[in-house]
Amino acid sequence: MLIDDSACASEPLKLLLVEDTDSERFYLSELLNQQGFQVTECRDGEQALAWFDDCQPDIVVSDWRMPGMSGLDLCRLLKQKERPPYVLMLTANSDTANLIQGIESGADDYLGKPFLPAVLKVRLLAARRQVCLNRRLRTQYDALRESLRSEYNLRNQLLEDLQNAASLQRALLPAKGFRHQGWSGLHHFASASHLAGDLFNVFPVDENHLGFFIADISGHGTAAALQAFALGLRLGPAHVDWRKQAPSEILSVVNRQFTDPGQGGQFATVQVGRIDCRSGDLVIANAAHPRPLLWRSDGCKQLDLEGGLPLGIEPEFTYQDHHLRLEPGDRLLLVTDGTYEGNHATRGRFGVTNITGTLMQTGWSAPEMALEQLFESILTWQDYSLQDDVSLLMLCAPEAF
Amino acid sequence: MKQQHIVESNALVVRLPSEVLMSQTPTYRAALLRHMDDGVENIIVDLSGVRYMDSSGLSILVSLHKKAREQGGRVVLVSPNDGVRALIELTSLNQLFDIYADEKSAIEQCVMS
Repeated sequence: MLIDDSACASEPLKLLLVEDTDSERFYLSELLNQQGFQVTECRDGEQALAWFDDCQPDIVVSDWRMPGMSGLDLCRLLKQKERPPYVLMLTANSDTANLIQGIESGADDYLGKPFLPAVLKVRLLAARRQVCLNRRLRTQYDALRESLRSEYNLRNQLLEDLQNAASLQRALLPAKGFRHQGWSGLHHFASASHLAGDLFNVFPVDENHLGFFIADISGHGTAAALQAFALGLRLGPAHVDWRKQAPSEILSVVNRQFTDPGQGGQFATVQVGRIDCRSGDLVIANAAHPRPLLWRSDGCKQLDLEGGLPLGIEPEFTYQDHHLRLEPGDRLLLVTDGTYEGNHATRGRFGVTNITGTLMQTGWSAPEMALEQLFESILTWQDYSLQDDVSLLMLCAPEAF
Repeated sequence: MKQQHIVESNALVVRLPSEVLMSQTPTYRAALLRHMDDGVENIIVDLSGVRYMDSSGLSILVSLHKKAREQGGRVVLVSPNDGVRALIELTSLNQLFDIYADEKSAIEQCVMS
């Protein structure tokens, strides 16, 4: 069998020779030098051990019986090193019991004295093959370990980046306890992965109006999250004149700006609305987003709100405004489809009926508690293993205008 | 995903598998868009075997629609189950696609147009 010993081609193998008898050591040293080894000689085990770390031999040829540390004890200690050498034990006593004891101590081979130089040569040829194989394996192991370390570092870096990006995304959500002219905004949000494809906001437009939007980008992952981030900025009051532009116009503008450079068929369902805080007049435009729910003291139902196409499909699509009037005490609940599409293997879909049911069951008097209960019910339904982002935004009218 | 080219209507019939999720969408999308780049004008997407599709799956239909619009072709759908049909209607994508009960009707429609 041909052995690829290219791993040993660059320099001669280092060999540590341990032999207490001077004449034998000189003789062996000469033989080994002739075979091309780089030989270091030691008189005993203690010296061999002391020199080992500096010498870093590939092979140790050691006599068994020596004054002080025996060859066997030396072998046991050498085999505990981080990179143990190949050990060939030499002994005058070549009976079977000695052979077993020698191999059990960790020696790789065993040669009884006296021996023919040719026999030593072939034994060392075998040793050379073993060392070359070990070197090759070691090189591959080191390369694999380095590659694994790089991957691990990259993974940690990506994870940190994702966490930073998620913090930025969350910074776009409205502040807890939003209030404007007696109106309040409550919300809950959970993302299915590090980054979300949902977004929503509520903010004052001017002294007497508030604006809001909720959106869901198709797909999941980083591409959806980046699109959500960009959309959140484009819909925000810093980029759109919410005082002058009707919700339908805002949708049309943002629709024309929606780009899909990766040609991934990305689209977004969006709802945009503006409320006159003094009268409860609501103007709302819908781009294929799930219909909002109107919760009144006597019941909770989805609004009949015809939706246009999602953003990102037809750049020239014209969106429509819908005009409604909210009554004092009304609560408008905006949701993404993750709130009711969540599916459980045995329980099935959560569904809109469970949303209305949970709200009605929890009671009218404490909307914060009702929304929190609804949020928990949605998460529990899916055993906290979300298939899609869950967004709930509830706008509560004051008891009197 | 199984495909069949109908020469007389320059259409490709595509039968999507039982689940169309985010992990497979780039592959399906790339394969179908390549056919359209190679000159296929019309795509008939047979959804009869699809049990579950999420919004990533819908994005394939949107990609095909955009490409067909550029090239003067059309994309039609065949026999979605109730869940998939609800997803399509919920996102108003039924405004973009004609939906047929079976492949034969969809092919005939493509030939006529």
